[in-house]
Amino acid sequence: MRSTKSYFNLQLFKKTVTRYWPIWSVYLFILSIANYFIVRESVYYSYADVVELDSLYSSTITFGLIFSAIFCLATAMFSHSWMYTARSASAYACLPIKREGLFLSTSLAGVVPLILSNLFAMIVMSLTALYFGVNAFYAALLCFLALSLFNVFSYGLATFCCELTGNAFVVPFIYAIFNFLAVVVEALLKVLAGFFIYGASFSSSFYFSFLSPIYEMITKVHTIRTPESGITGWSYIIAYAVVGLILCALSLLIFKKRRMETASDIVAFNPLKPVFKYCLSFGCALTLGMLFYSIIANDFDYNYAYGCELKTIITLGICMIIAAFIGYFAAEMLIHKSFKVFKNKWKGFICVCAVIALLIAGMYFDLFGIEKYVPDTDDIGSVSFSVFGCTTEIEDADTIELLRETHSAIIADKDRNRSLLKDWRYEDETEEFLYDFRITYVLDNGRRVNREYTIFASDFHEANWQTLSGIINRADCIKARTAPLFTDDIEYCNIYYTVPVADSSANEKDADFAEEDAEYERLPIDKYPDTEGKYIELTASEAKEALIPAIIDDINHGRISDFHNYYGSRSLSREIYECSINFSIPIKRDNSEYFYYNNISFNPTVNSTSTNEALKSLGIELYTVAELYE
Amino acid sequence: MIKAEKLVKQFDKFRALDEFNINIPQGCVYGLVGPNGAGKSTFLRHAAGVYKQDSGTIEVFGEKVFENPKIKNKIAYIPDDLFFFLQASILDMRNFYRNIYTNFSMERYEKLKDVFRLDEKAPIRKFSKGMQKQAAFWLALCMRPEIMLLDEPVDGLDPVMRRQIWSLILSDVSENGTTVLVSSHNLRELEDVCDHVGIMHKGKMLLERSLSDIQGNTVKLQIVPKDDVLPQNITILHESSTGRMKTLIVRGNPHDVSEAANAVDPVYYELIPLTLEEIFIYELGGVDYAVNEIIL
Repeated sequence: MRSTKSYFNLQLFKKTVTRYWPIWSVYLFILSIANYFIVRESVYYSYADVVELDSLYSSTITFGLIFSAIFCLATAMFSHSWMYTARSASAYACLPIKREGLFLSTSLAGVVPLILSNLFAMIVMSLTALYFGVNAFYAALLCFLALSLFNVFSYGLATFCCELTGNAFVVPFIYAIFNFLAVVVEALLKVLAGFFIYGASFSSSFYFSFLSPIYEMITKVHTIRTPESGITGWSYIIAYAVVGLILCALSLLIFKKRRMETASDIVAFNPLKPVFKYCLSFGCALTLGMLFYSIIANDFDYNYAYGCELKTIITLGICMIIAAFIGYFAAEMLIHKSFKVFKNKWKGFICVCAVIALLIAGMYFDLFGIEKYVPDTDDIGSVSFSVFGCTTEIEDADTIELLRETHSAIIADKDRNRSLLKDWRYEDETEEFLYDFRITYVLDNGRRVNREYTIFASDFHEANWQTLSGIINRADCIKARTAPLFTDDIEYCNIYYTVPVADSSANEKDADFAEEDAEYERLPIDKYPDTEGKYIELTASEAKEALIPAIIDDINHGRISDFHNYYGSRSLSREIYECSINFSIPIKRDNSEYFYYNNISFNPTVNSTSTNEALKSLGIELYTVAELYE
Repeated sequence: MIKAEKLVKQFDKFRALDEFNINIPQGCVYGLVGPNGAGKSTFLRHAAGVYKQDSGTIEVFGEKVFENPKIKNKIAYIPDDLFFFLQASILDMRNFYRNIYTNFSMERYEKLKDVFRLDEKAPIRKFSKGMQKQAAFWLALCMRPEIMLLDEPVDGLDPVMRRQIWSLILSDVSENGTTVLVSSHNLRELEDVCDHVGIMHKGKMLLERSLSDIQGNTVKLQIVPKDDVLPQNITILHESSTGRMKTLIVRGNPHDVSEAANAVDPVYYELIPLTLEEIFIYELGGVDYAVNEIIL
């Protein structure tokens, strides 16, 4: 390649590939060996071709995702390592090659061997499978495509990280930060918000997880089990590959502006120095600050339950400011490569302190209006709420309005509720009880608003409880929650029930032993001096014939529900039978490899006449809780 | 040829080049001298297209050099701190450069084997510093450059090899009109090879002239004056005395200084040409350079 105008220099490409051959040859070796064993194990532990492919997809993708992330970082670091010392940076920069040529030649030299290694490894996979009598060419092709697209993304991100710094040791840290920063920061902000904001929800789902690519891909890209073996989440894979290409283009733009004198600098791109400084300050304030606080105070649970007090705010604020001090001046030291940074650098730190104080005060005094925010009815697409773990989704406007009003009432009663919560003791055995209320508004613009509260149900809150349980026990809501009963999706049905024993002395001798076993859940059936637990299992067809029509009839007439509040009303003990009907529903989520089992349970009551008849026809005796124990 | 005007380069708060001006004619051997931190290496990196200036201009063959592969193809740059690929031998580096530099001459490479008697297949990193320098010169000379930028080029070389390398460079200069810009602390050596000299201090060019001009414009006058009357109308850069004998460093051509000395009818006087080292020291002494007291 003797042209001096080209944007690609073959000689530089070849030189870079040959210089770092140990890296990609290790990748090639491990990937090929791994694929060989994956195929071999898949064949040994399977009964049919399809199952073998399932296992093959699963192992290759899971392994490949993590492996790709690590090796793309390594190859990007090595192929761009010339930028990190003044000697090599000068040597490369004085070559008669344009910046675009330098960038493309060295970058391609990093990623091309990886993609060729993927191809080779997948050929190994296909041939190994063929040797064992399985045609896995299509599976290998899919795995090759998926893995190569992972490579494109991971390498693009790693290259971008390489361009931001002039120090090779910093690249892995930036890479890790980019991969996990968003979820970590979001999680920490949620923890912080939970301190101050009444109803702040620490849901496990993250709004900004898409900014943490490895996390997002691990959670979103899966393989499908039989019968349609394959890889799901192609949209994610392709989207991230496109992002990888965009990051490469961005890296080129940064590289064109890069100054070779920044070799060995922590931040190579001058405009990013303040960004680095303030990100490190706030990052430390959030992470180290919370860590310091947890070491000093260790009262997270108390703050979540009852809200934080002034001393909490002061302690947390001091912890965060100390941590911000560490982050801010560490950044200054790294940027200036000097420990003497404490003169004339305080303005920025004071700004950081002010922002932290504003953040804490803003949350405590709800200056941002988060605590009191209830979305407008017009903006809401649907609402789902959960009480005692029973989740109900609502789409009709009237019920949504009712939930909004209940939610507003709960917010308005914050201080009294927290005061009651502090005084309440379970042992008091009153009619009052606590319940967790979670609500999620899905807005028309796709945004989700999550809130959760622990509520003391008495007086005023009793009305809220009645509203919520009323909605939960509505026939249409019950039908929505128990939809699989109306289809053919159940796998089997268990019925547990308790009957009194005629001769209590017969059970007394085993009672101690039985109670002990029951405690450790070793026995499905309990034996007590006066009662005996019994169990019956129905197949899907038996349940559909003998039980389900009766339950559906009771649901339609509002006589049975899958939800009962045992704590809420002690009078229920005279209405509810000590009997539990459990349907096991196999569920395969779209992106999941495995089946999950969902249980739908009903407790018949004196009102569920049709169900009671069906149970009796199955030979089940029904006794209320009161009849058995009171 | 190489021309810089008001060139500024700042590293954080340190101004390495401060409105630096230089004009290097084609075919000359230009010695860039100055104390540590004067900005010599920084300027060489600008001339090689490694650094981009903050302001001002630098042109080589009338064109910008930064991001200009056509110009860079004509330049061989040997920095003070050499770089070779890890594990690379001279053969590896030759193969790399011959596909990068369009003028790379294999014929010359073969000829120079007799001058640089190095093991072509051994990893360069195993060579001594002097041998690595030899390897760098070997490869650089094979590029048939029109401009050679040499930063402290002969550090670590033995006297015989220094002479051989300078001989090769100077034959390139005379035969091909190669321009050489060399920075060095070894003023004695520069004196032998340079025809132009620039003295840098704190990022600025203090003095830029041909060597003959410099040496013809500053003289050392040793004089025993009558009645302590020193010559008038001359610029005295430095004055010292030993007994009645005064030693004056005077700016001006020898003829004028001689006339001025005769005019005061001294007991004795003598004009002695200055070495480049002396000129360097006295010029820098004039700008409060710290070595002033040490040498006197």
